[in-house]
Amino acid sequence: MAIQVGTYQQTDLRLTSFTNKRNFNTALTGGPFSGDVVGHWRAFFVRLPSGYNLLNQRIVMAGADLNGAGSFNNGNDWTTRIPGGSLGTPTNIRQRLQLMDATAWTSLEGNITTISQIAIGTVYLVVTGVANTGSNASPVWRNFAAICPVGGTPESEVGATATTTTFLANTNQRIFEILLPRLTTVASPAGTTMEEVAYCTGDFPWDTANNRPHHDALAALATNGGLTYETMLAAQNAGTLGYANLRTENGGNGKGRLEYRFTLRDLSAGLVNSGAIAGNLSEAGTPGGLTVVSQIAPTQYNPVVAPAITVPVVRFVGGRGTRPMVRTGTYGGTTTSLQRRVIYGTSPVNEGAVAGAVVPGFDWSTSGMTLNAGQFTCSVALPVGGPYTLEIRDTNDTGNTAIPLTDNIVGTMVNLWGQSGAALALRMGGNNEPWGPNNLNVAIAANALGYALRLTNIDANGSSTYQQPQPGAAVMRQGTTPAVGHGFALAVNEWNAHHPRHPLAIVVPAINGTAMSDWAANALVLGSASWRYLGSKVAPGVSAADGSGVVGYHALLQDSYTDLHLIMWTPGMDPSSTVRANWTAAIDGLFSNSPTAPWLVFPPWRQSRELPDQSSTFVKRNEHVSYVAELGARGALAPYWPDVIADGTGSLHSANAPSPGGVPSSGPISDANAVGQGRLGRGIGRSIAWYYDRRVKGEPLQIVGAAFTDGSRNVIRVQLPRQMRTLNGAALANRFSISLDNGVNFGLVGQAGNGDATAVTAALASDGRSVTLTRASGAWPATNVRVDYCRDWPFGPTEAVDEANTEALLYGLLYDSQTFRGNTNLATPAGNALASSNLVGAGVAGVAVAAAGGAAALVSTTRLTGARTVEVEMVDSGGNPLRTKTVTITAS
Amino acid sequence: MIGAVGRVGSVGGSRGRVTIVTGGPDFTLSNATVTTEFGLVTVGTLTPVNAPPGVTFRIKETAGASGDDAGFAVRNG
Repeated sequence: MAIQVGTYQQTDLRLTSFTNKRNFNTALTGGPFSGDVVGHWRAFFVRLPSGYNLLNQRIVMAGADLNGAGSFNNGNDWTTRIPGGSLGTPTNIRQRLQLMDATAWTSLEGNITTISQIAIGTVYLVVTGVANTGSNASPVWRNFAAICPVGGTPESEVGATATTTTFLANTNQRIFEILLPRLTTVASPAGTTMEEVAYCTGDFPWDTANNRPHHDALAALATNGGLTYETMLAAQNAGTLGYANLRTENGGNGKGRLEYRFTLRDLSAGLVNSGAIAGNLSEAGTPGGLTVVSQIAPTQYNPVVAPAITVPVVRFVGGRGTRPMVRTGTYGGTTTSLQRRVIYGTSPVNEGAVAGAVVPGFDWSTSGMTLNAGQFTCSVALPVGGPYTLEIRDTNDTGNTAIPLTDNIVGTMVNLWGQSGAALALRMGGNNEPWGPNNLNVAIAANALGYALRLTNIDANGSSTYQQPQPGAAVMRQGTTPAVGHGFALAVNEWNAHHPRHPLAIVVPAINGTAMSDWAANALVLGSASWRYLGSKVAPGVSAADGSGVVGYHALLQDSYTDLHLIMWTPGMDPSSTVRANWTAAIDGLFSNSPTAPWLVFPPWRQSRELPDQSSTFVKRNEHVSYVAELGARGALAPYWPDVIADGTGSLHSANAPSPGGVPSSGPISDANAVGQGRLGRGIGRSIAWYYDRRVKGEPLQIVGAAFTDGSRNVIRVQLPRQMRTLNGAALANRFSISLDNGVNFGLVGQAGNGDATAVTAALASDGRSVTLTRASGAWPATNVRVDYCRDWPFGPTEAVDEANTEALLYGLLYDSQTFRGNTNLATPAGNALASSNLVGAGVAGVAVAAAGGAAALVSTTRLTGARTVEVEMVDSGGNPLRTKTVTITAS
Repeated sequence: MIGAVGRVGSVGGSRGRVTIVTGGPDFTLSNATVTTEFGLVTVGTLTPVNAPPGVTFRIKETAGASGDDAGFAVRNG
C-alpha cells in the first residue's frame, strides 16, 4: 500500500522534531562507520497524477521549510521538486527534478535538465544526495540526482563542480521534515502517490568509472525482486555489493546508515520511523486529506506475506453452539482484506457431513473478519459438531493462504474439580502425568467426538524444583482407539449414546491431596514456591509461575468459559458453607465468561476406605448435598455410587496401579483400573447426559419409602425406586442400616451400632420392587425408626482386603435394569445403583418407616421440568396387573 | 339388575388427566402437578377403586435408556 494526496492542500506528513545536518568533513564512527567521511542521500518512490502536465507550479514532493510558510526558499531549506508540466520558466525543468539541498547545488536550486521528464502514471524511484566519490583521506564531493522507473532504465545527473565547502560544513539544514506538503501553491496535487521514503547518512553506491551513482544499484532498488534500501546498505557496509567499479574502502562499498525510514504503506505503521534518529511522521493540517492506495514500490519492499492463524492450545469451543469460534492471527505485505472458510475435518460427526466439504453457510466470505495493523480476528458462529478446519486467505490474492487450523470443535465443555478421587476418576497417574493408558482399548463410538484436557505437572512439582505446568489436549475421534485413558473414552461414548453428534470436552483440574479451603484461599500448591491454586489468567513461566495458577491458567486456556462444573471432593470438600461459597466465587471470578455456570455435584463414590476415615462417611456426602442446596438453581445432585471398584490392595482409588498384577506398595492383584474407571467413565458420561436431558435414566436412586407390613412391626418393607436386581445371581448383600432414634444414629441391620443387635434378614421381593427386612424376634418401635442403604461405603479394606476380589462382593448390591456401568468381569453390566440418602440429621437421614396400611403415592425423585407421561399399574398381591393408566404429570 | 354396573364418578378437579373407565378395579391419582427437588416429593396419592385388598402400585418402566418415567417412582404404603 502507499499514501496518496486525496484532497489538495488539506493534509501533509511532518516531523515534529528536527535534526540538523552534520559537518560532512568529520569522519564518523559507530554503527557501520569507522573513520568514514560520507555524505547523504534521500530516496522515495513517486507517481504523478493525470493532469500534472497542465500544472505550472514548482510543486514540492519533499523538503524542509524553515520559515514554515510553504515557500521552501530559505537558504537552509532542502527540497525535491517536480515542477508541473506547464511551468513558465525555465521550461527545461517541466516535470523534471528541481533540487535544493541548501547550498549543495550551485545557485539556490539544482535544475536537473539532463534527466528525462517524469511521466504521468509511471512509478519512479527518485534518489538525490551528496556523495564522497574520493576517499576518506581525500574526499571528492559531488551532488547527484537520479530517477529510475520501476522496471526501467536509470538516469542520473551529477553536479559538474564539487559540492561547496559551505554546504559541507553547514549544520543549519534540517535534514528531514515534510512529505507531500500542503501549504501554498507548491503543494503536492491530489493524486500524487508516494511510498518507501529514506534519508541515509552515507554515500550512495558510486560508479567510479562513469562518475555517477551506480546505475546497477538504482536499477536493483527499482526492479521487482531486487534490493531494498536495507539490503543494499547491508551489502554496501559489508563490501559485498558486487557491482563493477564500485568505490571500495574501509571494508565497504561506501557506507550508510538509515536515519529516517518511513514505509508510507498506511497512515499508522507507515508513519513510524525505523531509522536511527527518533521521530515519527504525523498528519499535519486537517487529517483526512491523505488516503491509502495500492502499493507502488517494487514487490521486494512489501512482499507477499501469508496470513497466519495463531494456533490456540484449546480448539474446543464450549457453549453448546451458542458461542462463536474466535481465532486470531497475523497478516502483512500487500494484504488488505481476508476471507475465511470452514470445512469439515477428519471424520466429522455432523449429520450428513463429509470430510473436506464446506460447512453450509461458511464458504469463502469476509464476514466475521476484522483486520487491524497486521492482526486479524475471525469470529464464526459454528453449529455443534466438528471437527472443523478453518481456512484464511487474502481476498485479493486468493492463492495467498494461511496454513489451515484443524480440529476446531464446538460442543459442551465440563470441568471436573476435587482431589485424588476426581483426579483419578477417568485417568491414571500422578500429578505429573496427563492421561494414563487406554487399557481397555476402548474405541470411540460412531458419531462421538471427545476432547480431553489435563495439565502435565499440574502441581508444578510441588515443593521440589519447579516444573512448568503444560497443557495436554487430546481429540477422541469416532472409530479410533485413543491414547487417553479408558475412563475418558467410556464417558464420551456414554454421553454420545444420549446426545449423539454433540462433542464433549472433559477438563480435569483436580489435584491429589488438596483441600477446597486451600484452593479458595489461593494458597501455594503443595509447597510450590510460586504456583498457586487460583493465580491470574496468565500462562505459567518456564522457571516460575509468574503469577499464574491452576484455575487462572485453565481459565486462560478455556477462554474463561465452561458449560458445567463437576465436583466430587473427599475429604477436601469444606464443612463450612462460607468456604464453599468462597470457592464458588473464586471459580466464577476467573471463569468470567461463565460466572453462573451450573454445578453437578457427586456425593463421593465408594473408594477403598471405611470408618474411622472421615472421608468415607455420609457426613462428607451430606456436605455435598448441602452444597447443592447452597448453589440454588445452579446446583444439581448427581448419583452417589457405592460400587466403584478401587484398585489393588488398599489403594484407595479407582486408579492407582496402572500395571496389571501389582500396586505400588504391595501386591497382589491390580486390574489396571479397568472396572473402577469403567464404571466411573460410563457413570460420569451418563450423569452429564442426564443433566442436559432429565429423561435419561441417570438420576440418583434412593429408597423411596418404608413401612411396617403389619401391626406386629417385625417386618419392614423397603420400597425401591425401580425394579432392582443383584448382579450375576449374587445373594442380596445386607447393606441396609436402621436407626432407632429418628436418624441420629444408624447401624447395619443385625449389628449393635443402632442399639439393636437382633438378627435381621433382608430379602428382595420376586418383582424386584421392594426388600423386606425381617427381625428374628421381637418388634421394632412404632416411631423414630428410619432405614437407609449403603450409608457406609460397603466392603472397605477391613471387610475386603484384596480390592480386586471386592467386585464379587459388590454384585450383591442393588441395581436397576439399565446395563451401562462397567462390563469388565460382569456377565451383565451394572446399571444405576441404589444408594444412600446421603443426609445427616434427625428426621432427614434415611427414610422414615411408616405404620402399616398407609396410602400409596406417586413421587418425583429428582429435579426435572416439563410434561411427562407415565404408566402406572395397580397389581394384586400376586403381582398381576389389575389396571394400567397413563398419567400426565406437569413438573416444575 | 345383573350385569348393570354403576358408572364410576369422575375424578375430582382438573388437576391431572386420568382416563375414566366404567367398572372393574381402578385407581385415582389425587394430583398430577409437582414442584420437584433433588429428593423425594409426593406428586399425589394413589387410591384403589373397586380393587381387592392388598393391591400395590408400580410404574411400568419404559424400555431403553431414557423415558418419561425417569425421575418418578411409586411409594407403596
